Amino acid sequence: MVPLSHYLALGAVVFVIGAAGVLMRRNAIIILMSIELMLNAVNITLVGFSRQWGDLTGQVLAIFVITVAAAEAAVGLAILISLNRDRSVLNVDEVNLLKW
Amino acid sequence: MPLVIPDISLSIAAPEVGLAILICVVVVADLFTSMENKAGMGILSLAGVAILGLIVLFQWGGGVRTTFSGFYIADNFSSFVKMVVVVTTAFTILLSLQYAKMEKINYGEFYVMILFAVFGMLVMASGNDLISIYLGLETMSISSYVLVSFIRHDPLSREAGLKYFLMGAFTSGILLYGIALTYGLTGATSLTEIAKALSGLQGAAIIADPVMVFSLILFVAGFGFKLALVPFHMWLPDAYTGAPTSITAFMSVAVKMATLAAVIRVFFIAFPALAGKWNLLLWLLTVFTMVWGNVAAIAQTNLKRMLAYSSIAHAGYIMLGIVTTTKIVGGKVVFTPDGISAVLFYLVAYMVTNLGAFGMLIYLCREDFRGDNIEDWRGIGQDHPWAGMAFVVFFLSLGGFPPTAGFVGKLFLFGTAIQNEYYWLAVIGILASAVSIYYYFRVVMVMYMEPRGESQPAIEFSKAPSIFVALLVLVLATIYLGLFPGSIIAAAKSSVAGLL
Repeated sequence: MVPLSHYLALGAVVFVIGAAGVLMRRNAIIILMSIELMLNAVNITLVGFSRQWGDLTGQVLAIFVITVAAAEAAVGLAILISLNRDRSVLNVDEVNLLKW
Repeated sequence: MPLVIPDISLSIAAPEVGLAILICVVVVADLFTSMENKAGMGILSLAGVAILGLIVLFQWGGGVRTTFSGFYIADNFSSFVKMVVVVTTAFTILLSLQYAKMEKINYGEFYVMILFAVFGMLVMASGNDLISIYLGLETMSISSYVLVSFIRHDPLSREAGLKYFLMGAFTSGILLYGIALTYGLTGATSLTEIAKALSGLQGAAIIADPVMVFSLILFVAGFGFKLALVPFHMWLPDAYTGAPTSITAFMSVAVKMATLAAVIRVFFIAFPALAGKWNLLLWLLTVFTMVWGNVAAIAQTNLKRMLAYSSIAHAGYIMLGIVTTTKIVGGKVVFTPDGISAVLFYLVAYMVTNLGAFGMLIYLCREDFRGDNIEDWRGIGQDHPWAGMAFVVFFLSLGGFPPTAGFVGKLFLFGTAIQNEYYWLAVIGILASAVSIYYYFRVVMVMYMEPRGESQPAIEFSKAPSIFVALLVLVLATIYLGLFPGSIIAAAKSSVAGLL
């Protein structure tokens, strides 16, 4: 059996990779992917804890998170497409009409 | 394993059920409406929201009831929050009816998305479990991403939507990790169960765990982003400037109100054992927010953006009420209900004022002229004294002058701060709000002292009766709450009474 600490360590590492991706990468789609990484790291953590405690609440929340992530990706990609209609911008540094 | 049938009582969750039905009705009715008559969807939603208000009012005073296996709670606090959200929605729809036509966003989906966001807010107000609070928060946020970027043909709106979306999604990740860690340490997601796990000897061991403190920081950061507390405020000015103005008004009141309800429940119900720690964190954020919100607003030339920064500052005053609820008596943490009831009253005052201020921007807006720069308001006080006076009333209330609602709200907030011995916080808050008078009255000066320029288009206010009625009611409400705040204060007090 895989001990809890493995789940938690994997979750923490993936979460940090995701958070670092959001803060450091400048491509909007990669930022979106990094956010998904963060959410999946949370899911790993939740499922690990759920197994540890022997109750299903964590797994229920994990399924909700997956659903919400799907909705979020749909809306996010739609916003990106509408932003790209007239000018091809993926770099978030170029999205700078509004400042300060 | 025995099959347990969960207790589900739909009548307790009547507002949400009713709203879900309303959303379905509007979605279907939208299919049979021609493009010219889409304002009808707004009127349909308005009628539905009015009925929703009655349902919420009917629930007031019904005692504390939970359903959906403890996921959902109905008490006076949730009814109060829902009432504010519903009234805000009604005014937003009134202000949108003609504005949506001008901005060419007159689709049925516009009203549907507003209602979806309201659904999330209602769930948040009644959330008694981290799962339901999270789901409500996401329903609200995802709908607001769409609403912010709704003016598809306007690059500003799309950009605002992207920024709001990226920051918002990042934030939910942070908040979720906090939820996951809390679940891991306490084995529960229900707010009362978490509080139980954190109390006693076993709880003392969990509280001392650095992971618990880390998860608390994630909670503060996550909610701080949603409430736009400095230093987590970067998205707000952009999102508020780019969004359709009626949506800006909606978000600045309703989104804040719902998030605050969740914050109050999570921190006061689930984490009272950690009050010393989160109180310190929130104290720092409150000071930063009050100071920076007001200072940054001074430099703005765009009125909408200035009001956005001012709403950051107001979030700071509201957090001041949350912080000052905690009092330390003889080394023990005690919650005094005055702070939260002051917050609730302030939010009502802020609702009528801020909806009015953004409503004035909509009032001036025309198809070829947005009028959201400060200099667009030159000479309006001389040419249109009544409209000018209305705006002055809203600015007086935002700045906290008697006899307006904002004055009574600030009086209560700072009064609680002094009463519970938060002298520094009160001093910083009063100084910060003195700074705010400067930038509010600069607009008043532009309106009354500066003549209209030769090249500026003539002033022509919107002729829509819906906007006029909404603004008239808001002006009167702002003054009324300043003169006779008693009934709302009593309601705020009784809604907190069952909470703490």
